[in-house]
Amino acid sequence: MNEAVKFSGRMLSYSTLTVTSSEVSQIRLALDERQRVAAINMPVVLDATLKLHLGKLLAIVRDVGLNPIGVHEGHLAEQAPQYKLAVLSKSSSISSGAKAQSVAPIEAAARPADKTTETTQTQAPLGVVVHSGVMRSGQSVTNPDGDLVILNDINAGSEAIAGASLHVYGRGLGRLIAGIDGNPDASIYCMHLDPALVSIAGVFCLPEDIPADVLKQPARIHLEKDGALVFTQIHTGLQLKVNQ
Amino acid sequence: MAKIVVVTSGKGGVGKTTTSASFATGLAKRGFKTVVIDFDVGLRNLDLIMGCENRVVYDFVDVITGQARLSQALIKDRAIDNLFILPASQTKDKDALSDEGVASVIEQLSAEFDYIVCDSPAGIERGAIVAMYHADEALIVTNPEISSVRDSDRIIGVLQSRSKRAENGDSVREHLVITRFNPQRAENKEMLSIDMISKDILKVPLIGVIPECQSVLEASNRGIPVINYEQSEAGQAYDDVVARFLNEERPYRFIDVKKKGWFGRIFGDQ
Repeated sequence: MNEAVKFSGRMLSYSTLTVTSSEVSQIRLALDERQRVAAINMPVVLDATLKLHLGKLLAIVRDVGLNPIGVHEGHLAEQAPQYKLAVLSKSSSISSGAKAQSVAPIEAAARPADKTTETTQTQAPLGVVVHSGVMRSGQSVTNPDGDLVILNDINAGSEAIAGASLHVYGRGLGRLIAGIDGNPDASIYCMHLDPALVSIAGVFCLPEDIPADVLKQPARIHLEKDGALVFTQIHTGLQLKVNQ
Repeated sequence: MAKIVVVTSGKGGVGKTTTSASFATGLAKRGFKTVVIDFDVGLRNLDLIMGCENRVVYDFVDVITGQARLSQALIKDRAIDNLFILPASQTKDKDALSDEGVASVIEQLSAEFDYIVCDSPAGIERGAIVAMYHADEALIVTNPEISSVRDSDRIIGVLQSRSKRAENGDSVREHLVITRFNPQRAENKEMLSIDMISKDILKVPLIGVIPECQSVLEASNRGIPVINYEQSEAGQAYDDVVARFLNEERPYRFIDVKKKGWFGRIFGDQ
C-alpha cells in the first residue's frame, strides 16, 4: 500500500472572527485591541454580519498577524473561491459555540439557558459552569469560556463541551469534549469512563481506541506535547498513551 | 382542576396506547372522572383499543377548528360511566393541532374532569411535543430493549426542557412503565433487567412492569382495554400501576421467573 499520504484523526480547531462593521478603521481598531489575546499566526475563520470586500478584510486581518484559513457560510462565502479560501458550514463545526476572539461583543459566561435547544447552563464563579441533572440523549451542555462540571451521568447520545477542562462526576457515556478553542492544557476527568468519543483540543479518540484498562474506570485524559492523548487510571496512576 | 398525565415513549410500538387505555380505564373504575385524548393525528389507534371506532363522529381536530363542540366529540365509554374518549382525526395531519387550540381544549376539559390522559404519538416531533406540553405527570413507556430505552432517555430530556412546567421552572413528575417484560429472557440476559433500565440508565422511578402476555393482543383486537381482563397477568399489572399512581403500596408481580413444578421439570416447559 502506498503510504505517501495519510489522513489523521484530528478535528479542526479554530477561532471564528466575526466582523460586524464595514468601517476599515473600526475593524482595525478592534483588532488591535484584541490582538493581545490572539496568538501570532492563529488560524481563524472569518465571518461577517454584513457584506464586505473579502480582499480588503484579508489584508487587515493578515496585517495584525492572524492567519485566515477559511470563511463561514454567509456574506463572505461567495468571494471565498477567488482568494482560495475554504467555506465552512456553521452547523458542522464543533466549535461553533467558541467565539473567544470574535470582534463582535464577546458573549459572557452567563448566557441565558436556551430551553428550546435543550441546552442548559447554570452559572458559577470564575467561568465554571456546573450542570446537575442527568444529561439525556440529544442534550448538549456547552461552556465555551471555561471549565464544565457535570455532576450526574452523561447518557449515550448526549454531549458535554468545555472550552477548558471537563469534569464528570457521573458516568460519561456520551461525547466528552474539552479544549474546544484548541487549548492543549485542557483535561477530561471522569468517574466512569465509557464514552462515545473523547476529544481534547480537536484530537479525538473513539471507543475502539480507548485502552480497555481505563474503560468504566475513574480516569483522566490529557494531551501530550506530541499530540498523543494520554489516559490515566486515577486510582492506580497507570498511564496509557494513544498515538494518532 | 384536572391532573394531566402524558403517556409517552419516543419509540413507536412499545405500548403507549395500550397503557393509555388501561390507565385511563383504571382511574375511571376507581371513580375518577377521566378523559383520554388521542394525540396521534393521522394514525389514530386509541378508539380501536377502546372499542369505540364505530362511534367516532367528530374528533379532536374538529373541536380545534371549531367545526364541532367539545361535547359532540367526546365519546362516553359503554362500560364505565366516568370514562370519556377524545379521538384523533385520521385524515388530518399533526399541524392541525395548534398550540392555542390544544390549550383551549385542555382548559375546558380541566374544569370538568379529574384526570386527563394524553396518549402521545411516537417520535419527538410536533405531535409528541404538543401532547406533553401541558402535562403535570408523565408515564414513560419502555420495552426492555436498548433502542426503546435510548429513545425514552431522549423523550425525558425533551420533557424536561419543552413542557409548560419546564418553561415555568417547574418539573413534570416522571414514572417508568416497563412493558413486554419477560422474566425468563431477562434472567438469560436477552433483555435488559428492570434495575438496569430504571436505576442505571433512565434514573426514573418505576411505577409498573407489564409482563409479555397474550391477553394484550387479544384485548386490543377485541377493543377492550386489557385492564378489564382481570384474570390476565397484564391486566393485573396495569391495575397495580393505577394503584401505585394513587399512592397505594403494591408488591411487584410477574417479574421473577416462575418456579417449575415437578410436572414442568419432568416434561420441560412449553
